Amino acid sequence: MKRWRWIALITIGLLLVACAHQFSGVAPNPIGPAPDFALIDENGQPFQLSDLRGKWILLAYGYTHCPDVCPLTLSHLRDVKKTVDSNGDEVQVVFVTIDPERDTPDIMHKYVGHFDKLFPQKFKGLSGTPAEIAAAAQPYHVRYEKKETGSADGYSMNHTAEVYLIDPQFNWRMTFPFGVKAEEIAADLQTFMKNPEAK
Amino acid sequence: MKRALVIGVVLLAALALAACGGPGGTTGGITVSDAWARTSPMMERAGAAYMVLQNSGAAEDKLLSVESDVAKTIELHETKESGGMMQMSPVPNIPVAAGGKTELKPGGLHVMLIGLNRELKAGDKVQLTLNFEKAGKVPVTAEVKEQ
Repeated sequence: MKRWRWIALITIGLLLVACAHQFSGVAPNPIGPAPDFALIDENGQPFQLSDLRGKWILLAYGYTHCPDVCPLTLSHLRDVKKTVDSNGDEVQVVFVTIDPERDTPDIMHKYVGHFDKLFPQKFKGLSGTPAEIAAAAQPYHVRYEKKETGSADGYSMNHTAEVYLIDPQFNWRMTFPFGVKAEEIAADLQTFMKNPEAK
Repeated sequence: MKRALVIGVVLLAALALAACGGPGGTTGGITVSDAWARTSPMMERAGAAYMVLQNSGAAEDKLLSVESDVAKTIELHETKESGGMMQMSPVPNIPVAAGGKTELKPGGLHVMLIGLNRELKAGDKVQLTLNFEKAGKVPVTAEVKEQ
C-alpha cells in the first residue's frame, strides 16, 4: 500500500515538472502580429516573410563574412530543425543579411546551403537593397553598423544576434538572446507545438 | 667553429622537441587542447578555429600568431558584446596568464582563417603552428567539426 502511495507521488511530481516548462526565450508583451517584410531570396526571387504563414519561423539576422557568431547561430537553428522537424516542413529557418553590399542572393544561396543540406525544406537566405534590409530589421529591433577593423577579411558588421520565433498564425511569439543553446530553443518550440497557448 | 656546431646541435634538438609537441602536447609550459575548426560554409568566406591554451609556466605568455597551409592569411580575432551588439575585431595577441588558461571559443576569441586553400569538411584534420612569445612554436592538430 505504501509503495503505491510513493509511485503516485513520484508520478504527480514528474507531471508537475513536465508542465512547468521554463522558457529560454522571452515573449514580447503583448504577443501580436509579426512585422512583415519583402526581400529577395537566395534564388533571386521576391520573397515576403508572410508567405511562410502556416509554419513556425525561426528568423535570424547576420552576414556571411562572419566566421564566428553567424555560423554558430545557423548551426543551432539547423540542430533545432533536426530535433523538432527533420523531415517535415513545419519549421522554416530564415536568415537575413545585414550586409547587402557583399551578400548577394548568389552568396546567400551558397552560405545557407551549407547549413540546410539535411532538409527537404531548405533554409531561406534573404538579401535586398540597404533600404529594404533596414525596413526588415528595424521592426524586430535588429541593430547593425559597419566597422573598419583593419582585418585582411575587410570590414566587419557589428550586429545584434537574437533569434525570433514566429508562430503559424504569423504572431511574433519569442525572442532568443545570443548564446541560448539549440536544445533550449528546441524545447521551447516543442512546448509551443504541443500547446500553442503555452506561456 | 665549435660554437657553431654547438648552436647547430641545440637548434636541431629544439626542432626535434617542437616536432614532438604534437596535438595536445606541451611546449615551453604551454599546453594546447581541444583544438577544432568549424566546417567552412563556402571557400569565399573565412573559417574559424578554437582551442584551449594552458600555461604551466611561471610567467605570462602570449599567442602572437598562427601559421598554416590551410589559409592565405591567419588573424587572431575576438567577438565581444557591446551595447547589445556582437562586435568582431582583430586582436594583436592572446595572453595566457602564468598558471592560467585562455579559452578560444565561439562568441569569443578565435583564430580566423582568411582565404581558405581548401574546404574544411567534418572529420578533416588541420595542422596549425602557434607562435608564442616565450614558448615559441607549438604545433597543433585541429579537427574539423560541424558545430
